[in-house]
Amino acid sequence: MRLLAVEDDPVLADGLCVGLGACGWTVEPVARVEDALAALESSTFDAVVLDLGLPDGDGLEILRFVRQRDMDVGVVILSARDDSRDRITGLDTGADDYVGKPFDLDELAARLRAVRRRLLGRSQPALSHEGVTLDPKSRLAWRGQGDLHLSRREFAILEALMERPSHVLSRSQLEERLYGWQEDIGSNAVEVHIHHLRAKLGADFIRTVRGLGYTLQ
Amino acid sequence: MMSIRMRLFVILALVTALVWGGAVVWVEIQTRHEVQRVLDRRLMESARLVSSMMRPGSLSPVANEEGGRPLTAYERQLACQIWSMQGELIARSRSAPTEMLADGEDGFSERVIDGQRWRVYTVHMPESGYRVMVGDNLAIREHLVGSVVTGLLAPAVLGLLALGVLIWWSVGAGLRPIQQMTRALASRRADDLTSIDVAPDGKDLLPFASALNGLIARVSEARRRETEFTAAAAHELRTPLAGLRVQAQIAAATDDPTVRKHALEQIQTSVDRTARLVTGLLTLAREDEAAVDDAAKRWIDLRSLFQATGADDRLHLPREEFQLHVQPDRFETVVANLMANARGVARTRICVTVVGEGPDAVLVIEDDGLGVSAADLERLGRRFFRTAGAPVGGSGLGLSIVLSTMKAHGGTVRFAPSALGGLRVELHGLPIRRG
Repeated sequence: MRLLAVEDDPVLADGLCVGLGACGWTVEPVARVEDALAALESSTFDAVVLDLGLPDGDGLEILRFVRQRDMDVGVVILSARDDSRDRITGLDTGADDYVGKPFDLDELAARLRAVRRRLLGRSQPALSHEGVTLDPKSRLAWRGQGDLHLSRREFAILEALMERPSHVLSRSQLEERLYGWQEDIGSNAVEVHIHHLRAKLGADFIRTVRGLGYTLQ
Repeated sequence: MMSIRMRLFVILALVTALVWGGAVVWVEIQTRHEVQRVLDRRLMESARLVSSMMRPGSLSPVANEEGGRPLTAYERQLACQIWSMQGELIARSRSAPTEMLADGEDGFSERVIDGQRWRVYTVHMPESGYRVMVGDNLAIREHLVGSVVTGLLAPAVLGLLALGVLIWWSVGAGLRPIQQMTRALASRRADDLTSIDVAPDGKDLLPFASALNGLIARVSEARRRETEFTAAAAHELRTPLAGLRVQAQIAAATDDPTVRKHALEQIQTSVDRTARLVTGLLTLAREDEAAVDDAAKRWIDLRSLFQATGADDRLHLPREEFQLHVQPDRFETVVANLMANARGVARTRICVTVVGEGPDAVLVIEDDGLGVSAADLERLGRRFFRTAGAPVGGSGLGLSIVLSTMKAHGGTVRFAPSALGGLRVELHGLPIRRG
């Protein structure tokens, strides 16, 4: 899952990157409304963690931008303004959830997973497809009784594909989910991970759609 | 404590009683005088009448008879005696005593006979050899005066009682606007800071009400500011707390020593920043409440004030020596905050100058940083306001503290774009002299 963390406090932004990164997610931190809008316009995110009091404006502007463009992205507001009026305004502007500061990192992660589930129209916490089951919380995958022992990036690719088994995901979409802006990506990194996954799951579990990308069906 | 109603009632009742009492005394004196005059005249006329009807030797002495029908009150009033020159009682009316009513001189006289006081008019008639004496029993006169006065006094007392009731009621009715206002104030909730309405018939209460409304407005404003400040402070503290909690959680959960070390460093950074924020909040709270005491002001050297903030190649101070009349410890905070801001943004120059002379002298601090947008210039100095380009880590309180401290010194602060390209901060109203 790829996250945009809009937070101007450097320590908290760092905590979100490291803490949510440990959940297997790729977190891109931005500190200003302007940067957040640019990031949302230029690439795809699965969820946004949004602070409201930003140096160059109100975080709700970002929320309105996302909802006006009908972007397929979950938004969790993370704000020190947390009386019920603020929560109501935030949720009615289109936020999927509202968390007051300070907060528990594990709770934020759980809420993000729940928001993602709802967005995909699923109520089961675990993902499963043709006998393969993924648990997004524990980051474990298994087939029947056997543990599949997936690496972090293999898990992320499989999770992305299993969230919408009928969708075709391009190589660059998968790269975005795997790597942050700062990271170097090898030219055939995604192919390497797919290769490993096929070795573990069987050659025809992931299908290649020539010129488009990968899908499970 | 006496209520205004009781006080007004007592004053009005006393004044009314005094006026009525005065009237009664005046009427009594007047009546007495008039009754005396009329009755004296009657005595005189009666005496003359009797004497004019007598001829010499026409009368013989009468036996001192008593009895007959009882005398009426009116008959008892006048008594007439006719005496010979030799002192023999010739005739007398039934109401008259046998003793001589007067000593025999012409005109009015008074005498006590058998414990009764008589007023007598005597007419001498030497040609006929009689003396006619007509007298009034003074007790009866007094009784007459008394009944006139009593006749006046009884309704006066009743009237006074009725007036008392009316005064009490009128005062109550007149004071109704005060009572309404009192009730409105007494039943007011502590958080109700709306202004007080005055009833249309309570015009006299308007100055009082408007003074009270002024006070309410000031309390309300102070409370609004306090609430805003507390809310903003709580808000500003929550974010670093959230950062601390997240980093602590990461440090506790990770097995990777590098990650843990990084998290702990982040915690240190955040604790330092939060400590600065708290210091700023406390300074601001202190600066807000205390005006500078003139006794605490000293003349301090401008150059050393700025140099105390640390050596900086970019800092350009005026060549001449200047001194400022300020409270040193508090003004040092102003300089430190302005210099911290300038240092954070200046590229090559931070210029300190003194413009103008005497009371119009202005201390100016300029930098050649990126400057502040026109919209942000207006918001500079608001609590927790940070410009978009401000270096991270600031509390957003520095300029608020500068504003508060300058206000406490009786001065003002103006922000403007600098010719150098950055921000120009002007400190007005400080006593500055060449040193």
